[in-house]
Amino acid sequence: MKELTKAEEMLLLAILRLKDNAYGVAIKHNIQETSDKVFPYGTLYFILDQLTNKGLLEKSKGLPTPERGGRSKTYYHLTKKGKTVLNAAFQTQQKIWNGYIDLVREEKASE
Amino acid sequence: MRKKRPPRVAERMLSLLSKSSSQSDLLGDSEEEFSFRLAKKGRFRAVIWYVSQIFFPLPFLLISSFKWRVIMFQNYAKITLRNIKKHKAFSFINITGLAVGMACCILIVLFFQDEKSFDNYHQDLDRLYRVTMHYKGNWEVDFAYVGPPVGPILRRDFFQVEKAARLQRIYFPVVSYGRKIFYETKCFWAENEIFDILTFPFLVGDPASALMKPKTLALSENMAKKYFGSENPVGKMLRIDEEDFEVTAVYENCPENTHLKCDLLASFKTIENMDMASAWGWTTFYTYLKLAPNVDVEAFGKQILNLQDLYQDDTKGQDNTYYLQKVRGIHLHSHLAGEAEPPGNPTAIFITATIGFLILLMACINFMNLSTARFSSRAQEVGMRKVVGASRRQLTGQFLGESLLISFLSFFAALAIAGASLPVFNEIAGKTLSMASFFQPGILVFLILILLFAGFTSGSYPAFILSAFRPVASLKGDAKIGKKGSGIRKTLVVVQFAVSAFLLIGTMIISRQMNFMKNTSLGFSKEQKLVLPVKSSYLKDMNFEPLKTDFLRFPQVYGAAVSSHVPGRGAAGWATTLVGHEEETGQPMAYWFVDYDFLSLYELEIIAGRYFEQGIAGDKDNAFIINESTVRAFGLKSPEDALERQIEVGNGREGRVIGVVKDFHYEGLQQNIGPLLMAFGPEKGVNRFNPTGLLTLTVISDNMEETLSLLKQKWLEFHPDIPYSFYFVDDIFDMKYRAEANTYKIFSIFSFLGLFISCLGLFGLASFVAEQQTKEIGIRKVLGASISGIVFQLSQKFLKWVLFANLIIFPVAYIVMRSWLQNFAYRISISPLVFAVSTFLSIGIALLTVSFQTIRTATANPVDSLRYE
Repeated sequence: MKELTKAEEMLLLAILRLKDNAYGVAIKHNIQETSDKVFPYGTLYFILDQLTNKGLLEKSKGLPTPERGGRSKTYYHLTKKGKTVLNAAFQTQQKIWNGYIDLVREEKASE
Repeated sequence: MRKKRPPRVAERMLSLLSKSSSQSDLLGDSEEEFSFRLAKKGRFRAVIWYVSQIFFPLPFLLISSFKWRVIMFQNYAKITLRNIKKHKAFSFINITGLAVGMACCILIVLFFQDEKSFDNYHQDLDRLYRVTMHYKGNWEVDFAYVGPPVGPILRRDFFQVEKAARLQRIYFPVVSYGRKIFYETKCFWAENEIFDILTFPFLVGDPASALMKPKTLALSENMAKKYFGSENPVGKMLRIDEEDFEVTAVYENCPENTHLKCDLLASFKTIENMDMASAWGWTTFYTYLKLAPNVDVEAFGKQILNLQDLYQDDTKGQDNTYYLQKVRGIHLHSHLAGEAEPPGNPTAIFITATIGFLILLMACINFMNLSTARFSSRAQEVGMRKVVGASRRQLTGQFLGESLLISFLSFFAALAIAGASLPVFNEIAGKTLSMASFFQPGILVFLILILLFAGFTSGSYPAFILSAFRPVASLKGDAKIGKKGSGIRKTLVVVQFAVSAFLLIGTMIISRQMNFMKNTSLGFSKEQKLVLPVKSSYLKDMNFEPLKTDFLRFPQVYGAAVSSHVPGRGAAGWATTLVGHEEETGQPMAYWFVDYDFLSLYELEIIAGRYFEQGIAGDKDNAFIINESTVRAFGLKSPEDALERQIEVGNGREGRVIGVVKDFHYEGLQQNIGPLLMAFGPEKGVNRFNPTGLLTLTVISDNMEETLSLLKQKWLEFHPDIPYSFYFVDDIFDMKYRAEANTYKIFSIFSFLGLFISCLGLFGLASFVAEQQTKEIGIRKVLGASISGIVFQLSQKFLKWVLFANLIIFPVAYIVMRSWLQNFAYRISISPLVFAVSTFLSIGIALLTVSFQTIRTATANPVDSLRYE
């Protein structure tokens, strides 16, 4: 399995956080709030599509609303595989960063 | 309500860019956030944000749609190149054929572009017109020029006319400056307003006044260099015939692509006189107009239609009508009597263009044929690709791409071929095209269109057929896929051979017509006739006799005669009246002056009366010889009836008819024989409109070059003030037939190319069929078939196709060639022999092409072909 990119990780995490309300606008805003990153919708959906194709996400249709021009919302959920991959990413992340804080402290102390 | 939604254009663009499955989600989300922003920050900011959503993700969207295509493209390219390398013979046939076809098209496009560009350089081109005239008396003719009253009347009385100018050709002037003496051909008397109508960029001098005074002239740059070298020509005196003219201006040389080339323009004021105002019948004045802007040309045209009736008191039974003709189309579309330069031939252009296109099409057909024939070898690849998941669209794209690549390769070969054959082409077409002409934007676009056309046409059929394969059948390997396209292949081969048969028939008919024209007796002798022009006013009392005796002293000179015109150069005409029949006469007729020896020198035949005779009083001053056609034009019953009738000619001569000469083709075989008058000797007195005398010598010599230089020496010795120049009568006729000679050349080259390409195709197909039938032939041989039997069996189907192709093209060829022959007043009839020969030839060539393969297959050892069974 190819490793997730940073953007993919951010998306998956946002969807996880939003639980049952994970649709385009909410995802975008959630990412904006937590990490100050702004994704245009085109980019956002490009990545969402890729993740869906890889089988990490699944979609479900909501009801149409007037402020969307009569289009319905699509909600995203992590699949089992998605959760596994995200978990793996987290593990890797931890391994990579393991001992980082200690190192920084040591360096500061020695200055 | 509308205000609350994002701009529709932006929405459409966004939806176009996001082709993904979540398109509607994307649009929905964007709109939701849009309305959110609309409420918080106002419409303007919201719209800006919405639009920015289109641009930020652009790279992502593009990558997602192109990345895979690039990868697949690499694979396609690799497979294509491998195929080209693997099947060298097929690739060679394809690329050569397409390249030759494209080269033809490229050359024709260049030619066409050049023909189209004629006269484009004039300013206000759309307002420029020439006045032409339809003469209607006892016979009818369309003239490119009109009488001298027309120009001034139009200028004076018609508000629609902004400028008008008359031009008259100076007939064969002797131009001299110091010791530089030449005959010139492209000289005109011109009114100064011509500079406001046609575009002549001035190098020196003032266009507003250059030709305002009598005895002034303007020169082209080349002429200025020719006579004055590095001297400044302005203010110098240049002599035309007997008179001195002051050079007032020098203009840039006229471009090649103009219908009117002027080397020298002399002021019209010099020749203008009172008589011109009523000389309607003196139709030698080119009249150009510049109309005012926004004139209703159609209405104006109707107004001037009957100009002559309105302004002339007595029209002498003539019903002449006047027309406006756009300067823009003169070169291609105007074929009137008296055009200043030889006009273009749109029919010939159309025919050549069609043929060029057909040849390209034939090359494309080859491509299709060979690719479909190779079905089976590609079928497995297609099956495999399909199994792996290629869509039909991808496969179509792959095969189209392949043919585009091949057509791209051919295109460069075609450019090289076209470039290399340009000098030959220029010679045939009489053009000065260069490689640089390829790189005009218009041409480039067209070349790319040719490339794409070739690529798509040749790729289309294999692309759609091959991509439709069912993978199971093709992978099983036993499907006889080659059978599938065989009907279409047959049709294509038939079409190809039909086209080549047409070209063959065309070539043969043209060559027969050419031979006919060369060998038909013109009614006079044109062999060994050397013509030396002598400006008659240069000789004392216009006495040619000493000149004749000078030359007759040479043993190589067998005869000498003087005349104003010779056969092949019979242009000047005068309004002629038969006394007692005034109501239907005053017709323009060719008028020549001749001398006592003219008849015998040209071996003309008198059918009634007698020729001019020395010692008979009155023959010199008031007697005429006419031709049979004149007898008919006067409405007389027989040549005898014409004798002793009185005739008045527009130049002031009158007299009686003393003889009728048998019609001879003095204008060549393209035209009917027009009425012709002959009178004795030139007009009395020095007159600017006196025609030049032409001294014809019958020269018979084994060493023509040496004789010519002897004659030249003699000439310079006795007549240093008359320029020496000469031509042969049969050369004039060769020139007259040059257009036909060129059509012939083009046709024969094309029919060769056409045959070549169809043979390439047939060869490819034959080798394919032979390959397919290897086993069948092996079995036949084992069972006892003879080699000749097998060769026959293999060839016969090809022969059937070729025969069939010939049969269907016969009616087409017959109709087309018959209409071509209509161009000739005297022509051959199409003999059935031509069709027989063409059939025989194409079958022979086809047989030869095919036999190479069939014999190889038939003589192969059956053991080799059957050992795997």
